[in-house]
Amino acid sequence: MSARRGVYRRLRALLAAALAIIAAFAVYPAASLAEQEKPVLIVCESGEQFLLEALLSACSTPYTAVLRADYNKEALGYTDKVVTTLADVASDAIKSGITPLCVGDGFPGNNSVEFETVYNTSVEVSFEEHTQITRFINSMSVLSAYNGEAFGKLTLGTRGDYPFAAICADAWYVPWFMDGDLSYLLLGELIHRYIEADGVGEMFVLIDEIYPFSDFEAIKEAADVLYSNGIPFIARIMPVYTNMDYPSFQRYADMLRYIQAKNASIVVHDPVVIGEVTDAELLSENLATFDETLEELNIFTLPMPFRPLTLPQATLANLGSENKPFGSFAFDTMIPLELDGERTVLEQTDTLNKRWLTIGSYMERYTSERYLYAPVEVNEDYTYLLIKGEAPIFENFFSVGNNVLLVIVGSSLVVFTALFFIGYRLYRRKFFR
Amino acid sequence: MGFVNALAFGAILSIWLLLLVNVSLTVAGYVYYSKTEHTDVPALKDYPMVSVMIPAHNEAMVIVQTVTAILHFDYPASRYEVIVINDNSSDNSAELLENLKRLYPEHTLKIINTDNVTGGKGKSNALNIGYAQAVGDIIAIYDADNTPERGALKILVSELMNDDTLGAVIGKFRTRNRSVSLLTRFINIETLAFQWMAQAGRWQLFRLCTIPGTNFVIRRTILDAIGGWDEKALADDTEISFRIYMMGYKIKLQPKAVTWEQEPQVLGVWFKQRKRWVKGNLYVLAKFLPMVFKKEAKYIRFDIIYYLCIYLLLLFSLLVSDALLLGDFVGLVHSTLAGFSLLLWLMAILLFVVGTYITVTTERGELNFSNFFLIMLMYFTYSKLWMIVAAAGFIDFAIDKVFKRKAKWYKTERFSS
Amino acid sequence: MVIWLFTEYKGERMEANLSSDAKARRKQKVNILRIEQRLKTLSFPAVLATVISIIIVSIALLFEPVVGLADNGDFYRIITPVNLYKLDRNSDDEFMSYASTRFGVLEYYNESQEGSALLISSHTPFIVLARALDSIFTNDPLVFDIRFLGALMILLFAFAMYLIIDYVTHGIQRYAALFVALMGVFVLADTGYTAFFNSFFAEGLVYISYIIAIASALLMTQNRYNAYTMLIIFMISSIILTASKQQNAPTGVILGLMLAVLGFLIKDPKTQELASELKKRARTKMRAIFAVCGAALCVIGVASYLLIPQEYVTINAYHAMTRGIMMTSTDPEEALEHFDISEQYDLLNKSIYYEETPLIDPESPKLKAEFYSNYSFISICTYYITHFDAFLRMLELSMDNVWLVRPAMLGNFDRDAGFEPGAQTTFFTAYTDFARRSMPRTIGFVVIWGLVILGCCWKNKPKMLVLGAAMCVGLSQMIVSIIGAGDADISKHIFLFNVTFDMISFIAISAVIKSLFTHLHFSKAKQKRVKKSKSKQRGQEQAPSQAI
Repeated sequence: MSARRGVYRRLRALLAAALAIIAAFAVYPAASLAEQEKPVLIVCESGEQFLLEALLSACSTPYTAVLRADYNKEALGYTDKVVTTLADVASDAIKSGITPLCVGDGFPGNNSVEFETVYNTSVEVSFEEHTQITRFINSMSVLSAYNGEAFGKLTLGTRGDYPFAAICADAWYVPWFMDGDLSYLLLGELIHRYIEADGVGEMFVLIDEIYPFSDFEAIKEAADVLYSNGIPFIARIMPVYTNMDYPSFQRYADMLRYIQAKNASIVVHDPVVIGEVTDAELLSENLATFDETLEELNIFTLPMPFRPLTLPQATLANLGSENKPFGSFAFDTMIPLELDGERTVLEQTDTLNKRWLTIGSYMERYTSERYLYAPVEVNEDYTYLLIKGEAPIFENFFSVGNNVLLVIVGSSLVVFTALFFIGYRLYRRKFFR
Repeated sequence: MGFVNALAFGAILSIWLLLLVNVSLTVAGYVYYSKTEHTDVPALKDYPMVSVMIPAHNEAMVIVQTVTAILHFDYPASRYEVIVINDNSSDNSAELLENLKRLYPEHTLKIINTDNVTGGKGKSNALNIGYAQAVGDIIAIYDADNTPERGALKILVSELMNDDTLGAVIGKFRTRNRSVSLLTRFINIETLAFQWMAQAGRWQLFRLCTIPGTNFVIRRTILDAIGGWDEKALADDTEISFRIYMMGYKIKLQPKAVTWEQEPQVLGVWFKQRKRWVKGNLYVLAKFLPMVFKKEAKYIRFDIIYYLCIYLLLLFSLLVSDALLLGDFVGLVHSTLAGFSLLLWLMAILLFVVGTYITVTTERGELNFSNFFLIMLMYFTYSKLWMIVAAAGFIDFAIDKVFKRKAKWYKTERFSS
Repeated sequence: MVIWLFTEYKGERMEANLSSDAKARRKQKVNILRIEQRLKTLSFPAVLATVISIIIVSIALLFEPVVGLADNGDFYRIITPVNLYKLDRNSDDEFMSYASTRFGVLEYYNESQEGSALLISSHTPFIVLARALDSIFTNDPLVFDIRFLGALMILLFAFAMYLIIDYVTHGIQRYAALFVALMGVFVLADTGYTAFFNSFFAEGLVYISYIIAIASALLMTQNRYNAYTMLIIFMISSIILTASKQQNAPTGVILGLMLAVLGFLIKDPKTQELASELKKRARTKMRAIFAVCGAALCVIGVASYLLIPQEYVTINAYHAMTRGIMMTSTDPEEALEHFDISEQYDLLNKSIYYEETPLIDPESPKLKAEFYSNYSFISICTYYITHFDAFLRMLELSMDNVWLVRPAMLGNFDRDAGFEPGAQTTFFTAYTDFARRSMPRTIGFVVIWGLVILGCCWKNKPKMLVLGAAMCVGLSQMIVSIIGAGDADISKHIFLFNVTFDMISFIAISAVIKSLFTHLHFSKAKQKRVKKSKSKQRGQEQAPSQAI
């Protein structure tokens, strides 16, 4: 079964994302969807898919992702925005009157743009007030010529400046970007503009993947630190579907209530999906039950139809800003805290503070309510149900009868013991004189 | 509540009921025991003529010891005769008995040898043959494997002569070969606890006793009135007991008259012997059951009900409860009936052990730890065996009734000591 | 060959004094005589049962519609090393639905052979042999027809059938023997079992070698055949059995110990004719050889545990905790504390590895660091020993899976045979489908069953030993499975348990039939005798009598 298993693993992440989209549609009312434009179509290879999806999600835009193998021209009929890494898709889009966003080096030059491959060069990315320390790149594609608007700036060692992207009449081109890099964020900025979204993104602090078996003390401590520094945060908690009556779930809930009172916005993490979901209805039912159960325990989860872009602290550390306040990106980002890393939460918070980041409160998007923490006693005497079992009948009769018989048998035992001692004395007198 | 639950409920109820009955009998029996300890046997003014009868069939192994012991009674030799009915024996019993006769010329020792034409039809028949030649006013019966103590006969006769309402007096019997095997140890404890403590309890509470088949004296007038032994019955003793009571007489237990008996040493023999007892008692029960509401049977009402309980209710209940336990274990049936607490069950077992152990304090050399553990072991082994015997006896009895099969005797095998 | 092996020893002696020439001549004559004699001594019921089962199993496995078993994903590991692949390997319903008859043969480089945990077991040589047969008899070198493997298995199965029927029918009254033989066919040639022959599951081989091993051991207890011949058969089949799957490792140890003890309980018929001094020496020699062979089997058992690559470690570890220890504990938190695992993990109670949406990915590093690393096979053993009630509950639970020989999900027919995906055959499955399913599914039943059967052979200690060992084999599978993977893997491990149950029940029932017939026969004879003696000496015999 190992072959299968491998396939599952690959499918897993893909389907998790697909599910997020389903969830997104479920959360957003149909009316508002109609007002918006049609979902953005992403057509790419599987390696780039997650990167592109994450950016679109951060821009709060519905999208449909299609792999090259599953691509069909007809899909272009349902959209007016296409983000792709594939040349044929781009030309199809242009033919059907769509201006595609072409990401990567897979496109031939034309009369709008020309590409050039540069080897072994240092690269400095900058955009508006944001800069990044210089990186060394072995091989990259740049726009050597373009007929349109330049977007962002790449400084390639001695070669000079190149645009990060070109916005041309027939298509938009981004020949190069790199994950964990300002260039990736820049791609996000470009997408934000491409989809004609407006507004400014927020930055959040995130404690991710809180399992019911995580280190609760560490999480509470982190919440305390953040709270005392006035930093609200998002807590993404893993959904539980079974055994929610167990004491250990009560303890989980108790911890969540505690951090909720410390300005944590509780968000349910996407469910872990292995293989494919055969019964999506059941899953959403399960998730709803989880939500309801938490609500009964005074924990109020917030929806997250579009996940902000995760901005690791390591990436952030490489970024600079011309102004003292760091400023913001066009899309939402969240900076995860590392609870089991080398640096303490306090150190991490200090670093964030020094960057003059504007940390938003996710909760405020939905509610202005504040929660107080009141500890609830966990029932440690919980009786676990074994697999087999049936309620006995006549229980009353037997418990009364039990007591009556206990008295009778007990007193008979006393009488017998007395008789025994009398008998013992008699025995001694009779046989051992 | 379902058939299985109803069965289980009935079984549990009856088991506890009978346990309580047994507890009361043990207590009463013990009271009687301590009473007799402090009362002397009434003195005998004159010695009535007694005929001691010993039925024997192929008993060469034990007969000499038995007859010798009987000839050594402290009863005047001239006032009692010994009648050995050597019934259809193929061994050298006759020869051995002749030798004995020569050794004890001062005693009256009558030896009746029968063959398969004149005898060989079972114990009742043998007793009737002997009875025809008996001259005594009082008849005493001993089994061929008994070794009565010297004073046994005198005590029994004194007790009988002292009270005109008594039709018979029975003594106590002990296990001679108790140290031979685990089985005989069990039997030893059983005779102490369940034969004679229960007898004593019944006498104390209801003035009721049952003749155990050996070590008892009975008035000749009664035997004449009931026409001797019923040769069809397997449990002649129970039958005679019931008839004595219906004539208005009583049977008394006198524990000071002791006989030592040889008990089965191997399981097979034990099983057959006990099965015969069960069948016999069922026969008597079936015969007397219709009389339970009649006036003349008022004295034996308790006994009939008691036997009914033991042989039908208890047997049925134990079988049901064990079957349910087994069935539940196997997964064939499942009772949802709530149960008593483990504590209660443990206490009940303890009660059984202590109650039984009390009775061993009444006998010399029985008060020891090994008996305590034996009783515990008995609870799980011997008691279950009894159940099987009772069931087998019941089935046999039922088959006899249905197919009108004739009851057949099984002679208990003897062991050389 | 078979005839040669299975001749009851009717010793030839007195050859020592002949001259070598005369010896040679005589030997020729004797040989001819022997063959005739041996043909005559073949057990008729056993031959009958063997022939009938060959016919039945061949109809099922070799002719259309061919019955086999669909792949559940395990085939890959066994067929890749022998350069085979599934022709339908890329279709959507590759697994579970159809039992392929034809497989592809890799002609050139076998890329998948490198690195991964592939399986080489005692099953492999049989597949290789079947491939060789295929290449001899068919013209298409790129296709392997699995029926060649099936046919090979049928031959081995015939041998197994002969042995076991020969054992059970020995000494039974003639018609009863035929009845017993047919009953054996009904139980043992059931398609529920034989369908495994036409698949790459090792169960088919396990089935055959197990029957041969137990039957040869039982035949030793009858002291009819040369003990060493039987020993060789026993050893070969036990080694095949033990080395076929890692889970059969305890089987080797159990059979080895049994063999060592068996050496002391049996007699070689050959030595019975020797003088007492020689007899003693021969006996000592035999005991020594049995002990050495037993030890060797134990070693092979341990070796196959260590050497056969084990896959799915996390799957089993996961289930051992969630579907075993936690599930049967009255307090899962306390159970987790026993292993020094965070009590919070009891939320995983009763969950399974294959869930689509698990609470946590069972392969996640978090679990590896905080969960799996805290327990092992041995600590789970310790837990169950100290929490015996939990173990009993576990056994009770696993009984629910028992009696399902046929993997319920796997199809029996080829893709081209025109059946629904996952369709199962009903040809000669009466025993596994109906008779077995009506048995109670509790551990109590199995315990009582075992005790009753062992109790019944109280007087035949060697038989008791062999049957006891067989029961241990069946039970060991169950226990190993419970400790290794909770209740999740039971359905794979109950195979030997079920075979044990069926085989021993069959042996027990035939023993009952035997004793019934012997008894009847005996009592008839006795009645005749008694009648005679009564008429002779009426007058002295009658013995109704008195008792106490």
